[in-house]
Amino acid sequence: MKSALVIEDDFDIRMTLKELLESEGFVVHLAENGQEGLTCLAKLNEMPKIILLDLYMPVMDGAAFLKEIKSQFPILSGIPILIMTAAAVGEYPAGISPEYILKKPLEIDELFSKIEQFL
Amino acid sequence: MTVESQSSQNSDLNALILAPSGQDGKLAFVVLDNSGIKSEIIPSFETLFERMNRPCGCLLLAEEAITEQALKLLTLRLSEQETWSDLPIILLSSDGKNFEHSRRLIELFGNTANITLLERPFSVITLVSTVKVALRARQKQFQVRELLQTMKRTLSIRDEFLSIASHELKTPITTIKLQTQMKNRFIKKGDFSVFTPGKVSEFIELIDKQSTRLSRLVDDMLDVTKIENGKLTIRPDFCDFGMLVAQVIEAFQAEFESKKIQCDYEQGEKLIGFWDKYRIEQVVVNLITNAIKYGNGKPVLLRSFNQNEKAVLIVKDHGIGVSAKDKERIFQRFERAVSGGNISGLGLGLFISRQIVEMHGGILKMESELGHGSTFILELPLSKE
Repeated sequence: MKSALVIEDDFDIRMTLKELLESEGFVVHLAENGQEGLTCLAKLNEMPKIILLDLYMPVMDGAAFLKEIKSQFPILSGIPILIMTAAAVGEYPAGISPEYILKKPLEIDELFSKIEQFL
Repeated sequence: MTVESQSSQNSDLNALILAPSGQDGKLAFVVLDNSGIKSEIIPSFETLFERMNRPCGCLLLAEEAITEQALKLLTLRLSEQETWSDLPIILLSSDGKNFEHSRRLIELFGNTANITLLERPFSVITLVSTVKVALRARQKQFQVRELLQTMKRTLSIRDEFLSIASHELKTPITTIKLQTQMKNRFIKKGDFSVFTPGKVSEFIELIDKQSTRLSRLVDDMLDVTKIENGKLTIRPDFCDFGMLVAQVIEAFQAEFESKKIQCDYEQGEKLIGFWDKYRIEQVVVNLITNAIKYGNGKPVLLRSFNQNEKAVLIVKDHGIGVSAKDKERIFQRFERAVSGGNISGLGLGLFISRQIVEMHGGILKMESELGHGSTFILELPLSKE
C-alpha cells in the first residue's frame, strides 16, 4: 500500500491533491502545517512513501519542518519530500535541491513524473 | 569610509575653512559669519578628514595648506563619495595674477573634485557669494540623497509586496489548474466517473470560488493604488448597520461550519447610517476574515450597538493576538501581524479598512494582547436624519 502525506495550508489545494493522489491509488494523509505534519508522522504505523510539502504555512512553515526532520527525526530523512512553492528560483530556502521543487501552479504531469522518479 | 555617511540637518552643512596662515581663516570666518553663513575653522588635514565623516557644506581650502600627501588623501576621499555627493571645494590661490600657476593648481585635483578657484586678492562679496552658491548646491545634493533613500525604501517595500502578491495570486490559480488538469486526465483515461452532476457542480463552485478569490486580491491591490493616489471614492446611501453585519456573517456561515468556529452576533438597536454599503461590507468582511485567520479556531464574537450617537461594531477573537509594538504597524500597508510567510494574505486588509472607515468620518482601532486574542472596534457616525 502506498501512502502520501500532503502538508499544505490552503484547504482547496489540500483537498484537490488528496483527490488527485487517491485517484492514483495513494492513501493520503493531510496536514495544515509543519507541526501537524510531524504529529501525523508520529502517529502513523507505516511511513508515507512520499511527502508533498508547502513552504509558506502558519505555525510551522516548510523550511522549519525540514529542519525538524533533519535534526529530530533523522529516521524520516529517507522519505522523499517534494516542495511545492510559488517562490521564484532565487527565493528557495538554502539547502534545497532544485530537483525536489515543484513550482506553483503545479503541473500534474510534472508532479507524477517526480513522484515516479523518487518512489 | 565615505563622506557624510549620516543623515544631515540643514544646520550641519557648514563651510569648513582650512587656511593655516592664522589670520586668513579667522578673517574668512568673520566675513561669512557677518553674512549669516555658519563655518568652522579646521586646523589641519587630519582634523578635516575626521570632520568629513559628518555632513558638511563646502570646503574653503587655502593653497598654502596643501601638501602632496594631504592632496593624495583628499582626492582619494573625494573619489569615494557616493553618487549623489559632490563636495564643493573653493580653492584660494596664493598668486592670483599668475595664470599658469592657477591652471596647475586646478590640474592637481584632476577630475575628482568640484573646484571653484578664487584668486587672491578677492573681494568680500566674491567670497560670500561663492560660498553661498556652493552651500546652495550642497543642500540640493542632500535633498537628492533623501529622495533616493525614500525611493529605495519604497521599491524595497514594493518588491516584497510583489513577492507576497505573487504567492497569494498563485494559490487560487494552483487549485484551478490542478482541478482542470485532473479532470482532463480522467477524460484521457476514458474515466467519466468524475462527471456526475454532483461532482460537476462541486467543480464549478470551486472554480467560481477561486476566481472570486483572485479577483478580490486584484481588487485589494487596486484599492491600495487608488488610496495612494487619493482616488478612492465612496458612494454613500442609507444603510442598516445591523442588517449589513448580519448579512456578512451569513456569507461566512459555510466557512465557520467547515472550520468548526463558533460565531455569535449580539445585534443591538437599529443603527442607520449614510455610508457606502459596499465599502463598509468590505471592512466587516476584513475584520471577520482576520478573526478566522488569527483566531486559532476559537469562538468569534461580534456586537453592534449605539454609543454616543455612533454605530459601534466590536469583533473579538481569542486567537494569537498582537504585541503592543505591532498594534499600529498592522494597519500599515503590506504589514501583517506575523512576518514572513507564516500567514497567507497580502497584508492590505487593515490598511484599506482604516482608509475606508476614516473616509466615512469613523475610527478603526484594536486592542490586543499577545496570546490572548484581539478586539477590533469600528465606530461610524450615525445618520442625523
